[in-house]
Amino acid sequence: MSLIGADTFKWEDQDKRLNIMFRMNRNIKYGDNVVVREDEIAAFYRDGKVLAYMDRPDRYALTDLNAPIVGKLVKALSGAQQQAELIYLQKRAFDGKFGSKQPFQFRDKEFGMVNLRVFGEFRYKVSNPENFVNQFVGTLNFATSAEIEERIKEQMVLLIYAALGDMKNQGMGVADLASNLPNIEQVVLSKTNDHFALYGVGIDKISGLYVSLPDEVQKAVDTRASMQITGTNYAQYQSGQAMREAASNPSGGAAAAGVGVGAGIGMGYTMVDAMRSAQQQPAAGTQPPAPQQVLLCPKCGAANDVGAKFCNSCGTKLIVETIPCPKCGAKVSPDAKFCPECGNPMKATKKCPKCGTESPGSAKFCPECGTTF
Amino acid sequence: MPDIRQKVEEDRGLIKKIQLMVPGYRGYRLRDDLRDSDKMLRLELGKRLALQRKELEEFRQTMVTNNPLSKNLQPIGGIINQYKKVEGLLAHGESGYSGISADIRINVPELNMLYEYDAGMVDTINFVEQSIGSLRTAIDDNDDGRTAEQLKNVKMRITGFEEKFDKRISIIMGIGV
Ligand SMILES: [Zn+2]
Ligand SMILES: [Zn+2]
Ligand SMILES: [Zn+2]
Repeated sequence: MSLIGADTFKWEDQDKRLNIMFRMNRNIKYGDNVVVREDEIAAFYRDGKVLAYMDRPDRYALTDLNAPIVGKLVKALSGAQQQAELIYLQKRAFDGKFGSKQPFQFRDKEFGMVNLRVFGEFRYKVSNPENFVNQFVGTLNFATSAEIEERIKEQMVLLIYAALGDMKNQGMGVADLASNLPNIEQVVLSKTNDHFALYGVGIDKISGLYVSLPDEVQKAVDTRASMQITGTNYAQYQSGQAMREAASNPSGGAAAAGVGVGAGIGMGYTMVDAMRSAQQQPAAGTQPPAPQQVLLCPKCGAANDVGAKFCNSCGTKLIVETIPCPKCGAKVSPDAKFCPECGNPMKATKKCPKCGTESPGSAKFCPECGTTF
Repeated sequence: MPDIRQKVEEDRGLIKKIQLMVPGYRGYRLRDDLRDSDKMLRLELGKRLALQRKELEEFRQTMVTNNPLSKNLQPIGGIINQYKKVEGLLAHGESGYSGISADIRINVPELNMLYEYDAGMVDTINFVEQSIGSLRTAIDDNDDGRTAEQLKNVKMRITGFEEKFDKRISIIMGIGV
């Protein structure tokens, strides 16, 4: 049976595609038909709240004949002067990307105040249609999915900042960020339930999380990391670089010095020494840089702009004061945890009772196995 | 025919085992029963998994509070994802995939095998539950080493359950190993 003047509502494909929500631009009334498909939820909304929602696929006629199925809604519609709105929601999960607009100021023990930015992807879906509609349509008066996603993204960034803060309090520094990204994802996921349930949104997963550091900090972190991995100090690190360059460029200086591709390992150090002394002799016609205008790196000797905080070549922190290493006497930054020359711990450290890893005296947890101290 | 009577008795034991977990379970007899029983069992197993996952999500929250730098956070996140996947497998039968198709002829020997197999799945899910209990103790004690061990245990057992469910139909139909 169809009533005169009754309309049939369905979510047209062109309105659907990437939209988690669609707010019908007409009101529904008693006698209308509403089509709900497999992947949809229809929410009926009036006076700032959801009257009813239907999440089973069917064509619903909003008449007394269907009272057992749509009873609550029909009752509300038949006695009402004011009509109700129809809002469609998608059941499937959506993928969104987030990125911070404002940097997060992270106070790091070693690098000072560092501006971080975070990027990543997340998957979300409607977990509770009533809360979803009441929050986004009722409270915020959002009409489009774009507005909703924007809000979710902002909240995601805030949750990540909160996670970074928590983890920093537990001893995570800027240099540890990259290795802790999977943990950050889990910390954020553990917070999403409490945070998004109110919005009727569930966060299924966070992936591709990335924290970007200012260039100079990133460079310093990278350099240190690669030196740690290869277990070399900076001099060895640079020899390696020089050898690689020589090997890939046989017509260059190394070839001229009698060393070409295929040079034996045993010849390596001689070659490097030769190259180093060649480097230290300025080529004819070039002037050595005026010492007052540059800051020489105490470690590798590279020239840096006055005022630079980190060496542009090896990433060493450029500071004026140093303290001598009690073991080898090398000049070490007062912030350093270990002597960069001999590896002697510069500050009180504790040994993990479980795995034996050394951590700074301030650490609350073993960075290796997570044991609480 | 003493053999058949014995079989029926054995079946009763297995049905009881499943009934303890699935309220209202009638057992596999007529074709409609077969389909309904299958659906009931899958839904109940899915519910049990969802409860286990909620517990794991609470554990994750505790671990985050105790130590957000713990090496155990990533594994527990992985296990939670695996649960979501297996829950999906079980629930997917609700629409589209029809579970055990009514068109498949199942005779007495296959029915017996089905009871046996499903009783085994019930055991497996209880087995997973045990390891979740041990995991809870390790987390409450704030013992990271033991937590790591128990996480591996839970992972192993839920993987076992997943494999068991995956093989279910093919084993019964005699095409599996
Ligand atoms: Zn340098
Ligand atoms: Zn030293
Ligand atoms: Zn340790």
